[in-house]
Amino acid sequence: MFLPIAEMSVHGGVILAMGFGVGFLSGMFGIGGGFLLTPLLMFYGIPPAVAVATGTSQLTAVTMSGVLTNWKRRTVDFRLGWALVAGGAVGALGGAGLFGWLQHLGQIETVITLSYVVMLGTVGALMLIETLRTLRCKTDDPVETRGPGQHRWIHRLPLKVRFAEARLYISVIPPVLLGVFVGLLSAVLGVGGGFLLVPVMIYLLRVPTAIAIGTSLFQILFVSALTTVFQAAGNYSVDIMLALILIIGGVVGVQYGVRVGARLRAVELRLLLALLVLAVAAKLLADIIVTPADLYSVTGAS
Amino acid sequence: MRWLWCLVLCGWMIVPALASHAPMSSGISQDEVSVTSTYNGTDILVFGAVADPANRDRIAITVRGPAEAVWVRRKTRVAGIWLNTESTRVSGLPGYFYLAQTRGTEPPLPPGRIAADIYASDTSGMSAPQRAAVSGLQKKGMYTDNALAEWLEGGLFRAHIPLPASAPRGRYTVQVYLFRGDKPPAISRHSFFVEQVGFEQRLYRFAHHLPLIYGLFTVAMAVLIGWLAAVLFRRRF
Repeated sequence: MFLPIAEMSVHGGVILAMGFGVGFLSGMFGIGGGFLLTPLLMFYGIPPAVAVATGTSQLTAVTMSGVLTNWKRRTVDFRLGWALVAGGAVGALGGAGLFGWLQHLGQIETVITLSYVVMLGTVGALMLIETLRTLRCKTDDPVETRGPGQHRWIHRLPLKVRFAEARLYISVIPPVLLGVFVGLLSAVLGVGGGFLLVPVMIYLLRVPTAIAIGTSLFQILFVSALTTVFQAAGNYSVDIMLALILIIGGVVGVQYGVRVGARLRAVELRLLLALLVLAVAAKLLADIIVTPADLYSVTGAS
Repeated sequence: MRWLWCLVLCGWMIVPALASHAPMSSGISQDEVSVTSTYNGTDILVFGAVADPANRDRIAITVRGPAEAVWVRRKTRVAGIWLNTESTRVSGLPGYFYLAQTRGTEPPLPPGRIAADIYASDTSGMSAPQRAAVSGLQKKGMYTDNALAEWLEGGLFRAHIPLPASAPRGRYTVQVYLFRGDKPPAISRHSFFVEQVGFEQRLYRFAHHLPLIYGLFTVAMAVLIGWLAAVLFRRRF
């Protein structure tokens, strides 16, 4: 089928399978999957601009059901969520602008690829180390955390707000800044940023794990939606046909992924995910290090 | 089937051609290519007939797509990483170029003899970025200069022009040349349009004229499908 915005002909079945596969993995691992979808689309030949901008719309659909579930379980701290979204909106707006500028300079592909390599390489390596350590000890003991109430630099910042569900009384500045950064990542790289939000909320802000996951999904839902709108309005790079197929594949994939994920052990899951993340990072790294067959690239001047 | 149709059309054309003493007449199979959601490229048939066919007659057909400016970027290695470091805007090249000629006992004409502005093979006078732009277009199947046009019986000829799905939209010009002896060639011209139509066109316009609403619409679609899926699957399992 022909994509109206990407202006290329693709195999509908392949795109549907990609959406399903990434949805399946995100359901299985409880991740957004943007970091897998964007590179996959780029490997398939979709222009990076369209891949990033359209991938975020799939994220919106896939996180929707997660947010509904967490809403029912009351594991979303809305005040914290809105603080993150407010920051995220600023970040996404700036990110969409940055994206357009980098595209104009012809550096967007390199920036996306390099960022992915650094990001996925770091996250994958950390996860692998942590998983292997857990496997060796044969126990799933929780990571040591300092109890709440301890005074660190985060607690000395002004503008303190009470976040009821998260059982926190901290400054609104760190969540907003975190939101800005994740929004920026979302717009430039087409990722949700859950891999960053969840650990930062748990380890740095001391948000309880369930609330951290629910709130991060809430933030991803809104920021991916905003990013889609900004990318569509500013860079004309959202392909609605591509989005539709990815979304349908994605939302179905998630449901099956969740069921399979429930049957696997958490450590095994994380090991698989770590290897997957590292594989994507390695492939992307190879792309920019190996001497290209053709030193010249030709793109439309629009 | 197509062949038959071509013969009928050629037959219909040859009579006025002979009557008017024009050395050649020709036509194309369609003057509009509609880009729809199932569009996967198409074939344009160029056909015609020559009056008083002689052994040494040659037919050459050129098809040029709308001129498109492109950015040509050159990669160099910076700290172990291949980066786009130089970029040049190349304009004036047609976004699509196709050249087909009939083959006789003699070797094919060099493309430059058929038309002065033929880019595909004669790149000697070009700058490096221009050459890169041509070879980039060649790789995408947009530039071909060595295709075959066929002679059928009785001075009829035809050629299939393949248009890839990503060929630019806009006006295409077709020129049919008859080379006979040492005289300058007789030329006939045609044109056709490649256009997005119907739903696809509306989507494209929607995205470019009302981008904000288009974005909101996409998001609404995503939210709705996500919500629907959550509801449906909860019931099923």
